[in-house]
Amino acid sequence: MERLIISSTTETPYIPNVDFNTETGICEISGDSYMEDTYKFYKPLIQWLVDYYREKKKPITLNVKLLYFNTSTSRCILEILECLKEFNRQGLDVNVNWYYDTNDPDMKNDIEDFEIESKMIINSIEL
Amino acid sequence: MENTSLNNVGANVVQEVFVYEGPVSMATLLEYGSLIRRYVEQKILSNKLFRIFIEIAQNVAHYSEEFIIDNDKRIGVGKVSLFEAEEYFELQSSNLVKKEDAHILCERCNMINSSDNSELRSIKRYIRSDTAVTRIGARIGLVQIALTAESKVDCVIEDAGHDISKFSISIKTRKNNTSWNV
Repeated sequence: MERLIISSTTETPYIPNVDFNTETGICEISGDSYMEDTYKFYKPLIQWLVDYYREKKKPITLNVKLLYFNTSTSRCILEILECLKEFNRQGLDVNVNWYYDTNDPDMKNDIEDFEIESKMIINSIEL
Repeated sequence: MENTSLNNVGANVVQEVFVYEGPVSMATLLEYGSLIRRYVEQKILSNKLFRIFIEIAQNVAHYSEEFIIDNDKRIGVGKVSLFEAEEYFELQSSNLVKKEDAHILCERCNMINSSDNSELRSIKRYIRSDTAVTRIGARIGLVQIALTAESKVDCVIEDAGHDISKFSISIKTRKNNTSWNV
């Protein structure tokens, strides 16, 4: 399987930067996320995680550095967290780090809500 | 006309920042989203207005009963506006909906307006966990804008013909909020 890299551009600021690294298991999502067809964008990311788990069986670290995501993106993020929770339940070492700006109280609430919903431990890290 | 009906709230003089009416495409979101980020200097407020704008604009884009087809893509037509008063900003949107949906949406606004922050977060989590990825839609969007704005979502329904209503929402965000002292 291959490293998954997607880059946001000035023409597409509504898609996040994605770097899912096959060698290290470190997966990073950053920037803004409010594209039109959210599920079409996130489905390959979820599939990459499933494939990585099946093929590599190595620890996964998810680093989230999103500045803004719309509500349909939030459903996809929840699906990613639920997927990681299931890997963790089956014995895989999974870490989720969520970086946020201290001047963004809404993001801190969002992280708390995702933690409650997904039952995943999310490390909130101040930027 | 709907701007007037939603605008006369409070004693503040309300000044137009922008009013857009037409197909709400991604280009529209980028243009006016960028305008909000340039216009509002205070970062927390700017973030909040940008986020509310994207949610209400995407609701119009996805769910308006009036639409155009551009490159096989359905793009909803409606109105999105930003107004400024001394103490707050106000975002508004309006679009055509099925008459039966307008009442459901207004009931949803009433439910949102009678819930506190903790209840809204709980409702949001419930909807998000309960709804399939492909159907998440406007249900959660209205809850989210109330949470982000930390205020009520006012709605107005106007008759727009057989089986069709114009659904307008208006939401204010205070310029100075002590809870932002983070």
